[in-house]
Amino acid sequence: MFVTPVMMHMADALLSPGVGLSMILVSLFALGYSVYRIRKDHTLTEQKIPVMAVMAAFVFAAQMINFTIPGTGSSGHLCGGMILAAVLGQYPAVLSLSAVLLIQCLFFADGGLLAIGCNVFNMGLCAILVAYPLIYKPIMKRGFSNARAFVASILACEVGLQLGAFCVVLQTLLSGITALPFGAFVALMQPIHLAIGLVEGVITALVVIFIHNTRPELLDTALENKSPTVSAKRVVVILAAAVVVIGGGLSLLASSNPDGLEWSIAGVTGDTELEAQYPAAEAAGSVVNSTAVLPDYAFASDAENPLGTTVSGLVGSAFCVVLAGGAAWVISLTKKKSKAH
Amino acid sequence: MLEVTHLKQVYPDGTCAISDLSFRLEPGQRVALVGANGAGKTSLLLSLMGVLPLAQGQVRVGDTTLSRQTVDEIRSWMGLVFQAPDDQLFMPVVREDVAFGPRNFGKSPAETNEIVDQVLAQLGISHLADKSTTKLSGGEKRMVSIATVLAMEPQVLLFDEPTAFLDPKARRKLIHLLRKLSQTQLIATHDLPFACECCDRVLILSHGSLVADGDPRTLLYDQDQMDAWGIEAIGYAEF
Amino acid sequence: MADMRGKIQQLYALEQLAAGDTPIHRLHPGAKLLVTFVYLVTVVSFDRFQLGRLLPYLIYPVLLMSLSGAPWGLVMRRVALALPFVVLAGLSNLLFDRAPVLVMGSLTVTAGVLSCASVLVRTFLTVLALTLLMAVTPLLELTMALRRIHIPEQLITLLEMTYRYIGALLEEAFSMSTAYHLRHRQTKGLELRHMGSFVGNLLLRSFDRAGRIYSAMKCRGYGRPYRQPTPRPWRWTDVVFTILACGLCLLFRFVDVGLVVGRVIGGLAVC
Repeated sequence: MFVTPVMMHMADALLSPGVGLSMILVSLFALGYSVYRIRKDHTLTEQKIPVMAVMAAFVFAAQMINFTIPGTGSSGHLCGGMILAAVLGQYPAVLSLSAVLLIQCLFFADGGLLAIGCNVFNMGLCAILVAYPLIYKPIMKRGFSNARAFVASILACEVGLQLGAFCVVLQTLLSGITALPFGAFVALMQPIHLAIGLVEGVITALVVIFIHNTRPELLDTALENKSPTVSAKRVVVILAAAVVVIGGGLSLLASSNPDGLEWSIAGVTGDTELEAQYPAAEAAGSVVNSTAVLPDYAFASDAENPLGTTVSGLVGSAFCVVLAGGAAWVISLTKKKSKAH
Repeated sequence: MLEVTHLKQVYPDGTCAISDLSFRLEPGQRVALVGANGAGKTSLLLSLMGVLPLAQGQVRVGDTTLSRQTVDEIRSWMGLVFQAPDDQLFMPVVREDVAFGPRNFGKSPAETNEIVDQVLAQLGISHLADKSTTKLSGGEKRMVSIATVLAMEPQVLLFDEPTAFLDPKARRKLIHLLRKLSQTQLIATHDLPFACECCDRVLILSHGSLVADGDPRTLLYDQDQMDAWGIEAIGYAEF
Repeated sequence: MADMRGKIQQLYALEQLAAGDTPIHRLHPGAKLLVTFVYLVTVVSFDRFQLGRLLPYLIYPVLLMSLSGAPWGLVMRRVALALPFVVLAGLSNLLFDRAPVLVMGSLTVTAGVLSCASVLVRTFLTVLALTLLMAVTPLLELTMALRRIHIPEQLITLLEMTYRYIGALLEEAFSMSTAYHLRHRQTKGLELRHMGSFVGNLLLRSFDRAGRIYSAMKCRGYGRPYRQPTPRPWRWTDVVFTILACGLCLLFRFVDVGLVVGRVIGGLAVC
């Protein structure tokens, strides 16, 4: 259970630029829309901001609270998105959670700058803009009861996490960094998040019930949203737009071998093999071809394989690394000397 | 300087927080506001600042009467130092936090910088300017939160429990500071010896109304009277 | 609960580093942000077999690190934190990419080994770059840069205030859980049935605090449109740094520098 945030946090290293950038666009769009909705729905936007900020910090702190899962002896912790939505309403909650994710990425190396779009989408939008208005809200609107709180929280958390986990699988596979087959990946991610969702849902329900018993007005402001908007419709529109943008981004990648960046370069220069055009590279290549410095190493792959040049590449790269290390050493030496004086 | 007439304030649930309160502070006066927990001190301070709505009555600062239109003006005349510095210091860095008020009130960046430097120097905390607000000690936090209010160049200062969280030495430093400041001050406190040292007048609140107004050195030592208002007088001890 | 203290310390450690004063710290925050972004995009744009092409990218973080004096220990701990999920993906490559790509005598290197290694190197580089950005740039400067590219003011205020209150609420959660454990035999974590009131109480406290903070802000004129402080202008050093660093990233992306150098070395070795 300890893996909750780790499993859901996409890392920069597992992403291709196309997937990362298109998800950033999608998330920015959703955040922009949320800002617009807050400005529109709440005459007191200013009042909302401090509350959103402190609640974001609350989620951060709440995630640090370990609890033991009965019967397993293992410990877990909370994600908190659904609690945030239940107290703040969906649009402020999305912004708060995004602030949490951004700070986690910047200061704690959870996720990454390029992956921030994926993480906002997987953990924020899936739970708060999809599961909350489509599942939690309709159930709770019929009136508060403990049973309803449990059903709504567990269902919403499960759906949100399943969607999020599935998006992690899709984004990772589309990026092409892992060789894990789709089936195996899904079979790994979904059941884990089914269990996590159950625990998350139970805690969300417990917290919601506690707040209902002590300060019910905090929940009401979010639930009895007076503006008669059909959020479900809006959400579908947002998601449709998101899919279009993602699709656009992914079609960049789908163009088989060359990745997104190379593809766009090819569009500009009409040639993906930029390297070969460099005379220096060619000259160096011919030197090596004629002298064959590493003759004992045989390549099992054919010439088209990018691995064909691995060995020379590694030697050169190692040289670069040594050079960098040397430079760093010299810098630190001079620094120490200047400090000593 | 500050004049309150027939002020009444009601909690959201309908109970009366403050009823029919009137008093007047002369320019340069330092006045303590004393009352048991829940007597309505914090509510009074917040309603003077126009944060909590008034049910009835009038608040005047100088020649300006508090209303929806004048609330900004009132806030530039009068500053409130909160009880918990953590509530008041919301920017990551001290300098930014002190600059928050003047900047909001339309000062240019150059003017703002000048004010910030001047205020920090006045309080003797210039060395804290670039420190993170999270890493200050309790005493430093108190000084910085006073600086954030002084930076708005108010004529009237309101304090909510300024000696809370302070060690005796920091408390002493605060007393010296408050005595040096020329502004009119209204200080809500439970620290009666502090009120005696600092103030030349005391207002005593009990259950939301003003029950006494006079010299702290006589009022706060009156065991029987104070007991009736639910406050422990100075010098009371159970041996 | 030790990890709460750890988190607070982590936050402050980076903040302390960012407050330093070196030529790197003095660079324009926008320049550093842009360079980091270009660096990340170019690093992740290689496919999973191009291990050798990634290595030259070490030069930037290593130089930055020694110029800015960021400690290795701290940075390496960050990398370790980011590893678990990535390792999972890397190991799966070992299992599923079994084609041999390189035979050195009796040693066979499979595509999986190569791609697993490249995933680890990618993690190392990306986490390194981001950690270094935060170690040489205070958050307040970064948000200034974000304001300039017209990210909505509400989002930026939200970010700054969240950052400010994380420490305070972590402390609050920490003392609450200390109080809990002092009266409870279990030391590992809370009981699930107590989570409702524990987290709920923390939430209520946070909410009340938010109300007080809002009052404090209102008392000091929050909500009026105010003049932004003029952002710090770009200096020629910022421009040089940006062009140099972005140029290097792009050079490494489009020219196999390692291969060129390797072949030159190879040529020299023969002569």
